[in-house]
Parts: sequence; structure tokens; C-alpha cells
Amino acid sequence: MKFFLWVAFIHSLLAITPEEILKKVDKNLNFSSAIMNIKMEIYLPDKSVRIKKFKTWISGNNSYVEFLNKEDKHVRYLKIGKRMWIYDKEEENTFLISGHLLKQSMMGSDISYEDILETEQIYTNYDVKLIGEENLRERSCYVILLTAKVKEVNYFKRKMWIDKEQFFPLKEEIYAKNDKLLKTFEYLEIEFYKDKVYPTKSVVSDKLKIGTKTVVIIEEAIFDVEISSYYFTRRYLER
Amino acid sequence: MFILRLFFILLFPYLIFLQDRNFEISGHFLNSFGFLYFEDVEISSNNFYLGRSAFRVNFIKKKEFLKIDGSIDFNFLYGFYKNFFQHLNNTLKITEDSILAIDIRKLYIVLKYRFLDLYIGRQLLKFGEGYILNPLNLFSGIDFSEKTFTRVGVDAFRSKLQISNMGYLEGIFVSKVNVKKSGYVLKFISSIFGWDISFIGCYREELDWLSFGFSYKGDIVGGLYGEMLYNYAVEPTKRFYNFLVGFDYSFYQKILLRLEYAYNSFDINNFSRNEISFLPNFPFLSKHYFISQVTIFSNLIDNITFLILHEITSKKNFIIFSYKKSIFSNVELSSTLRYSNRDFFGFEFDTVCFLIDIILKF
Repeated sequence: MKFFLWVAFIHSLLAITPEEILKKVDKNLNFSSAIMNIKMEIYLPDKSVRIKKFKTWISGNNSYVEFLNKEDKHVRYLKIGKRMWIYDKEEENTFLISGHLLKQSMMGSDISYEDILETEQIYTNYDVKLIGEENLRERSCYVILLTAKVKEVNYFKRKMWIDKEQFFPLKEEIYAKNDKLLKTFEYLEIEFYKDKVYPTKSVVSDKLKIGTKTVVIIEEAIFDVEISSYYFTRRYLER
Repeated sequence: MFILRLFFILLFPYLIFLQDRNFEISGHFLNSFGFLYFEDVEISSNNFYLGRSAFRVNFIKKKEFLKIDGSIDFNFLYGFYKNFFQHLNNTLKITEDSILAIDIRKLYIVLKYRFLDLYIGRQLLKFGEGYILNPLNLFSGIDFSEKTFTRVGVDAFRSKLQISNMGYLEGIFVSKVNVKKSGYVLKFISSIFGWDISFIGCYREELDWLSFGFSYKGDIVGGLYGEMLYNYAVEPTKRFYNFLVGFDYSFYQKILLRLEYAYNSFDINNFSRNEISFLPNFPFLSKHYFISQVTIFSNLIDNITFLILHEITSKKNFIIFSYKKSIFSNVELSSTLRYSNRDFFGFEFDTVCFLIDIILKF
């Protein structure tokens, strides 16, 4: 009996904690800088797919976005920390997207502005619990439940399926306080860059909308490149 | 007429040529038709046909130290539009029933060097945060014939000096060539404690007026924004201030509510006819205005907007209801119903206007 208790004790010492899992995920996903060409396919019920393309420059918590598809070519975004501005080139007008407006959908997709604004390491703002292990798309995963411990988070509850080998989230479900499913993120294809990993194809589905989904495809990406701080200025946004 | 046809036939190959020369070309074709109704006892018919075919071409060429940016509208106007705009000097008679109005909205070059940008030419100058009533917006007035409240370009020289990542200082000289209003402006923009703020100081030559103002935008429960302008004139009766406060809030990620209140302290009886057109918020010259706008974005495809601009003292209204449907990524269909009480835009009658637009972006 004593032997089994010792084995259980040693196993608990060796077992990875949910916080450590998330730290590894954060380490895996966070690049110091990146330049990416992204395609967004927006699927709406009974409508032809709408395609948006943009190029983004990311450095730390800041990013700058220029849309490339013809009909949205006049739109640019600038995100500095938790604040975001939209510039309409056609009318030469800059708007601050503040607080509650961040919940609006970005360009009619299933992604909200606050989804792309999340910059903090998530384990700092959530209570983290390992609730099990499951197989998802033939990969063995940790299932982790995050419950908000501070008010200043986008979502109250999140459930993540994390690849045990790569420490990469394969799926995430977002819930409201009343346990209503709000959104799902699925990371379908990944690629490796040095010791890191990033999703090249993901699907976001806003469950408050009926029958919609947005497929996000990273078509080109360069990481850890030097990006001039000039990109992350209002002057550059309005140029 | 032949020359005009030739011009449009040659325009497209020329745009393709420009695109090959690394000019980014974009724009739209718009076809709009509808009717205008007003009750005038002195005329036999109160319904007027409104027709417009428009072609907008935007072009940009970017180099490391230089940028050329332009946007030109070619508007073929029929029916009441033709009668209303034919006296303008940018119009050309096409047939007995139609005119062509050419509007250069933007045409400027930007010289870029380190922390300084110089903008020279016709450009849109938007100051302040207001949507329609915009006391700080002293130069680029709103084009009310456009339902999107687009602004009119002004000929100006502008220098922009970066002072922080979110802040810059601008010195602007506005020429009176196309807006008959010239002036010198100093503008400072920054972001402090999560709020966007701006300060402007302006000297307006024709009137010998000095104007000072500020604007802000931030977040308290919902978005809170506003602007204020004080005008100093030598004659004490011509000194006045204007302000605007606005609030916006988003519900269920689908509904956007915007509320604005604007106040003008001036008495228009103290100003000459010429001076009135220089007043901030022109043509909204009453004391108090209230704006409420509700926009419903049920999805990427459908968009419904209801706007009411209420003049509080005389209880007059300007109301817009519009529905926009995205048929394809680059094709939109929209219908708009506009109602305005007499005297709101200088019309002597209550007017109702209904328009259907189809727009193809390229």
C-alpha cells in the first residue's frame, strides 16, 4: 500500500500542471515579430463565400494591417496594446474603436476586434484546471478549462484541447457565464518555424450567428524580422 | 459629345496602362435613380425624377519618399439633379436632359522625410469626432447630395510632424480656390490615458476670425466623444462658441446606437450672408440639434440604418432610412428614403426623396 502511495506521490511531482501547459503553449505561439499575408474566407448561409485578404506587421503587442482585396483596399487597422484605430483611406478619416465596439465583428467575419486584441498571456487572468485527456483528430490532447478570475477579460470561460506532443491548441470553445457556447476556434493545419509552431489554417465559428464560419489561412509568414516602429504610428496609418 | 465619348473610351486603356506603371487603381461605378417629391402649389407636378450614373476612379502611386493620391468623380446627372447642379462651373452639358459634373475630390502629393510629411494639393481635411455636426470641421464641408455624408476636398498645403507614436503636430494652409475659405491651422493630436485628443487653432483670413477648439474620444460605459470651438472676432457680437457631445454603444454585436447633441451660441442675425457660409456646422444654424442613429448589421450582407437629425427649437427633422444589401463582394444594392422639413437645407418645402443605388466596386 505504501508503495502505491509513493508511486502516486512521485507521479504527481512529475505530472505537468495546467499552468505549465499554458506557459508552453504561450511560448510556442508567441513570436517577437512577424509579417504575414492572411486570407479570410467568410461563409454565410446560402451566400457565396466572401474573401478578404490582408497583410499584417506584428511586433510585440502592436500590429498594423492593410487590406489587399480591391473592395476593402481603403481600410487599415492599427493596434497598439489594447487600443485600436481604423483608417478609411477613401474618406481620410480615423476612428478609435473603443471598449464595447471591440465586440463588433471584424469585416463581417466571425472574429471580433477583441479576439485579435488579446495580447496578455491568458493564464495570468484565468483559473486553470486540467479536466481530462482526449483524442482529437487522432492527436492525444490535454483538455483544459479556464475560468476568468478578473473582469477585464474578453470571455468568461474557455475550454482548450492542447496537443500533448506539440503543446499547441487544436481547438478552443468559448462560453458565456451561463455556459452558453459563444464561439469555437479550430486550428486545422500547423507549420513549424525553428522551435515554434503556428496555425496556417484555422476555422472560427460565432455560435450566436446561424450557419456562419470564417476560415483564416496564413498564406505567407516571416517571423522574428526587424520591423520599424514607424509602422505602429498614427502618422503611418494615415499616410 | 464626341470628345466626351472618346475621353471615356480612352480612359480605360489609360487606367490599365497606369496600373502597369505601378499605380494602384480602384473605384466604383454607381447607378442611382429615384424621385423627389415636394409640395409647391405654383407648379403642376410635384414629383421629380432623380438620375445619376457615376464613375469614381482612385489612384495611388507610392515611392519611398513620395506618394501621389487622387480620387475623381464623373457624375452624369439627369432629371432634378441636372436642374439643381447645372449652374455649377464644374458641369458640362451632355444632352438637353443630362449634364456631366466632374469633381476632383483628392489630388495631392505627399513628400515623406523622416519625421515630416508634406501634403500638397486637394485633400480631405477632417477635424474632430462628430458624424454630421462637426464644429471643428471648418473647411471640408459635407456633400449632402451624397447619402454617405462624404466630405468636399479643399486645396491645401499641410505639414505633419510626428512627435510620438500616437501624436503629431500639423500646420495647414487652406487656399480659397475651391471652397472660398482660406485659413491657417495648427493642429495637435495625441492619445492620453486611453483617450484620443486634439487641439486646433485657426485663423480665417476672409473674416479676420481666430478659432480655438479641442476634441476628445474615449470610453466610459460606451464611447464618449465631443468637440468644442470658440470663435474670436474683433466685433463682440460675432464672438461665439459651438460644442458637440456624442455617445455610441453597441448591443448584441449587431446594433450600433449613436446619440449626439450640438449647440451653437451664435445669433445668425449678427452675420452677413457671406459670413453665414463660414459658420461652423453650416448649414445647421439653429441653437440646438439632436442626432440619433441606429445601425443594424445582421450579417455581412444586410445593413439597415435609421438616422434622425432633430432641430430642437423649431422641431424640424431630417430623417434617413436606408437598407443596404451586399449582393457580391464588390456589388451593393441600397435603397434610401430621406425626409426633410422645410428650411432644413434651404428648401422652401418639406421634401421626400427615395433612391435606389447599385454600386460596383473595382
